[in-house]
Amino acid sequence: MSQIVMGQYYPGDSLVHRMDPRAKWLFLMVFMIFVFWANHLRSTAVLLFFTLVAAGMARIPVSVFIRAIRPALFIILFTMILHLLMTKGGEALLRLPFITIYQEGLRQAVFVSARLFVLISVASLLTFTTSPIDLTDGIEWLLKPLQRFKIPVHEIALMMSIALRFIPLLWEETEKIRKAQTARGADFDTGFFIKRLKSYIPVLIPLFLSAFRRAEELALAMEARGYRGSEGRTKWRQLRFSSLDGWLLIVAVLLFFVLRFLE
Amino acid sequence: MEIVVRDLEVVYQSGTPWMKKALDGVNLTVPGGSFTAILGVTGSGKSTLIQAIAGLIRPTRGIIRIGSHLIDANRKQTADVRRLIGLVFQYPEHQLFAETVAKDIAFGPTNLGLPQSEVDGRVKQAMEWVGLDSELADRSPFQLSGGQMRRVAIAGVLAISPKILILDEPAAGLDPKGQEEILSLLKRLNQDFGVTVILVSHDMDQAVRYADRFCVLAEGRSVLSGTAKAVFSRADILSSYHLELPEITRFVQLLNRKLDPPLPEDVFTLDELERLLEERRKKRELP
Repeated sequence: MSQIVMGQYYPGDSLVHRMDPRAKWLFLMVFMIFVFWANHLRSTAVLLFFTLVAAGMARIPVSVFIRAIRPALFIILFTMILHLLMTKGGEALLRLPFITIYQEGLRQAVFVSARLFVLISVASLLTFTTSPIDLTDGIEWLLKPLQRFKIPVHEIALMMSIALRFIPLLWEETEKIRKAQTARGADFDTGFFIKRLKSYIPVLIPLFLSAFRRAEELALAMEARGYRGSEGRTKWRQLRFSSLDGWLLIVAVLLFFVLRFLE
Repeated sequence: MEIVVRDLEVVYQSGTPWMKKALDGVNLTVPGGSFTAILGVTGSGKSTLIQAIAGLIRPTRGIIRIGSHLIDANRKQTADVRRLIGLVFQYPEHQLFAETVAKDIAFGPTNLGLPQSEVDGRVKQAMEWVGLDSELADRSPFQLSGGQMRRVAIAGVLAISPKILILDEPAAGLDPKGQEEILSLLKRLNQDFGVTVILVSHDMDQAVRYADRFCVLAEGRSVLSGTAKAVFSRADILSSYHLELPEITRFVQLLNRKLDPPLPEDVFTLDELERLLEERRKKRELP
């Protein structure tokens, strides 16, 4: 692995790392509702402040954090510019030939980009501070009630954990194939869009083949061992709520009242 | 073309919790036209070293000189170096992609910008070298057997006509006959065409049969290098890094327990050993 990708785990021992994954999942869901509830700049600012404090407490280096959400930053920037140029209303702040920026446009640009940033940052904070195993154990526990409706919860969680496990593997594989084709003179860095896209064919075909090969091998290995995880499986790693998770609940309630006051 | 590596250091993921020092001061000289084996256990830094030599990984510190070209921490473009070096990764058949064998082998020479007639000639030549039947040229590489796919992949690298050929465990996963064929092909390229060959391996017996120079890597450092005699006489160092002596050396040591005077330990081929034993027998028959 030579790069930090979105959704990666960043090992650590901060307060946020030590919270129970179930509590973090639940908090994330509630927090997302808050984000869409907050329709004013001031309440979004509170959520943004909270996100930054949480990121600080998780002790993720700023450079790592920015590198991980960089692809999303482009989308944020793009929506920001669109809102700035397209939204009309209020006083005109700046008049240039072809371009007029209105007060409402500026407000929307700041508001929407802050909202997107908060959403993406909090979600990455969850994956940064929670190992893939904890993530899936947490989701499995939360989905358990659905078992009554014959939904294969364990299988869904298993699929999720396999998918998470395969992301770094496939990333490594991509790097390896890229290097091998570079050694044969392939050029990935010059030319325009279509040419660059085409230059990735010698990487993508072997990558797909290897993904299928891995999937088949894994399926065979599980089959050969008679894997049946959903029935009567006990777990060595038990999830336990601690007082930390109680604090998370208190934070959620506090945020609720602050937002209600501001909205 | 000579390769000189001085105080090479490579650090992965610097400044993150995944930081790893893969190479920590490697020194190595590969004489032009030699057949050099790089030996070491898994994780000793072999793969990183060859990728750095091939210009695919930038060194964190130190230099690599290939002929008159220099790679160091500041150098960003290595396209000229990559033209000189053919690198065959582990399980190279996993990098095949084209519809036909011929098109896959043509990928390298086409990227060099050669005219079509020259490319066709090189594809034909490369297929001949690796012993692929010419009628396989229009087949899909994915219909071939594992051993044949390996040959297609190696042919794809040979078609670039590299001055230096580096291979990472090229015989891994093949049957003994397939292994023998691939390695004798390398020996032929080395002897008949003067290609400098670097073979990465953890198999001492294989290395000692084909290579004439050796370099032992352990924990990211070069701990021994030189001729077979210089390297395999240091069983103490080898065993401290979990490496075994070649089978033939261990056999000579066993024989020596019963022989007086003992046989020299720098015997690395069966023919040589046979000759020595024969000489001894004749000497004893004399009055």
